[in-house]
Amino acid sequence: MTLQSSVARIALFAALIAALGLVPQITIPFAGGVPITAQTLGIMLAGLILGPWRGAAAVLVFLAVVALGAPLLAGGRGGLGVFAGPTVGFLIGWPIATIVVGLVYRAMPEARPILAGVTASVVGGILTLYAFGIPGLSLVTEMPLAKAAAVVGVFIPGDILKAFIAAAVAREVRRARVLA
Amino acid sequence: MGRLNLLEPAARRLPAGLKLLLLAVASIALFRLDGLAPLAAAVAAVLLLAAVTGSLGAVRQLRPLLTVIVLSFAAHALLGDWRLGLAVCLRIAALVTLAGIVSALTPLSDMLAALDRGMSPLRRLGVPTRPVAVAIAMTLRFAPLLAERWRALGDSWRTRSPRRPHWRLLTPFVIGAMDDADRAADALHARGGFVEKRP
Repeated sequence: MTLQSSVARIALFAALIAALGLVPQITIPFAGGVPITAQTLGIMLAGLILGPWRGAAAVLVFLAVVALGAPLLAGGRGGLGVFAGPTVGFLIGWPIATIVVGLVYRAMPEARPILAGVTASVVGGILTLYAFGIPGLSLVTEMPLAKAAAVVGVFIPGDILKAFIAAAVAREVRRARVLA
Repeated sequence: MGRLNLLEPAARRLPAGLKLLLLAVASIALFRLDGLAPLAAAVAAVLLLAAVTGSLGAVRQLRPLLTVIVLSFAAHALLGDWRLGLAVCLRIAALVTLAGIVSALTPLSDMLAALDRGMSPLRRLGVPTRPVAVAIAMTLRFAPLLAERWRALGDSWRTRSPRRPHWRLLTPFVIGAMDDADRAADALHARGGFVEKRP
């Protein structure tokens, strides 16, 4: 892939993650229509569709744009303040989670796409991400690790749902377009 | 009552790099500060700074954090140390508001220029930094366009289906963005790729 193509895909995916924070929440009918914040879904998709390195680059560009002051984080947040708040561990974990999603997905070329996609999203987008998010929350709020884990634990069912959606969307996108 | 925001023009003119450096130093200091009284004083100082620089809006940044702040206070109170809980809340309030003040007083263009200067050592080492600048500019340009496309996809769903649009819209959304990327890549190529600007 040429440098121009790489940069364009990285930038468009960063914009896609941003747009997922701007749009109203996405509903999931089979979960009783609960709305979900789609931005972490974008993190999983970046790893599944762009691969580990371009995916992580897209997430870093998105975080850079947020740090520069654009209010593109879900809920219209942005600026340097988000990197001083209790959720900073999750933001730091995003690019690393994307790398893990991409690497795990690539390591399972023989598996069914849905299985590979869900596995990669759970290992990267949940296990790896929370491994950064929970200590970050514990550090900023001085809560013990177990307490911090309990506080964010309520988001895990939603994240498992997102892993399935990310895997399904990645499979459909790969059917429709050849993404070298 | 007189206007408080006397220092706003001066604060806006301050170089972005200097503001970021001051923010970093202040954040480290806040992390090392302990005890209720010093942290309460720090919050008061940050609020005063926000008032004199006309950026009290930065306090609004705390609203989405309210749940986490309340939960962490409750956790500390349950563990028997409400003083530590309050100190933690005060520290988060000071940190987040201070960072918000810097963002409010520094336009995006200044931040971009500061980022470009920060990357200049890389340029001297021969690493091209132009692609990073182009990617950031493209992201800022395309984010609202893609949000608009999401709405358009939702509208066309609603004209065809009695059900509400849901996550299935993500597939055409992602494919559309990847097609945009291919067209943008052609446009970049046609304009000569990433030629570094030579002064």
